[in-house]
Amino acid sequence: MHYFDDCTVGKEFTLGQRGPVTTEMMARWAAGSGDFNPIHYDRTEALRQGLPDVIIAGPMKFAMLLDCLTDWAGSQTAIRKAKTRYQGMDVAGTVFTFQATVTATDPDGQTGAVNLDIRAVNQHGETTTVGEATLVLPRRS
Amino acid sequence: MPEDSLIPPETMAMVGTSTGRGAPKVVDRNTIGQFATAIGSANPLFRSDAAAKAAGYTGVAAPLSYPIYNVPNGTDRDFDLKLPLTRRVRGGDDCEFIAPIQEGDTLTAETTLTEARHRKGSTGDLIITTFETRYYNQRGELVMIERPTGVWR
Repeated sequence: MHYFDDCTVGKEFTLGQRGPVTTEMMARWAAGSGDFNPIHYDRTEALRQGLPDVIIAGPMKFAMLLDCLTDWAGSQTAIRKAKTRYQGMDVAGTVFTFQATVTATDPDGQTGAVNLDIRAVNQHGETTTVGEATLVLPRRS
Repeated sequence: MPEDSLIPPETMAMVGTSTGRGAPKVVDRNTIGQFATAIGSANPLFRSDAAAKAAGYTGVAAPLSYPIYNVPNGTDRDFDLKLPLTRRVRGGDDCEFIAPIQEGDTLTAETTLTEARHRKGSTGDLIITTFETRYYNQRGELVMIERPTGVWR
């Protein structure tokens, strides 16, 4: 877990890694989410539409990012807000590294609030998802 | 609205309207487990009663974005938006996590169309839609707000 005291503006963290994301995981996500757009699990259809392979759904990337952010923060309740923009496509087989940069901290330290820029980087070094998160972290001591 | 907007007036008239509360959905342990498996999570909060209780939950915890995944939440399909562009991708998500959600909770969603705008992008016409979904638990407490952006081309 991480504490408010660990966070200074500009500091970078690796939140965690997920993947390789298999087609089985993508099919499970489609089934659970009810998003049956075939580009997320049917390779033949994805190729027919001119895509390079089946595409990982944006909310699935968001869920993996939040899972890694939870591991980093030590609890889910620390995470108050998170937003993402899906600026690039990721296909089956992707390995994600989720990263964060501290952009602001509560100036008097009373609330423990920390703002982060968050992002997903694939194994080719491409940043395909960017966003922001607000957390409330405990103080050391 | 600009004169040349691609968005039909009947669709613009829906901005600010809501579908009303959707069907209630019970948060269950199997679906939580399936979510965790799908994303490759090993977090014990999602599978162990002991771990979840130690963290203050009354049953196994739901992952933060679980409501997006498994609660009928009202979308462009429910609104049956009339738009001249038909290929939609999800542009982004924007969430406020207000209270913990766990196994046994019953969630109800209410979705409002908050924005529809036409923009000329580098690859042609785009329509951007934003919805706001508010999720409530069985005690009527607001537990989460989610604002997904759709990009139509």
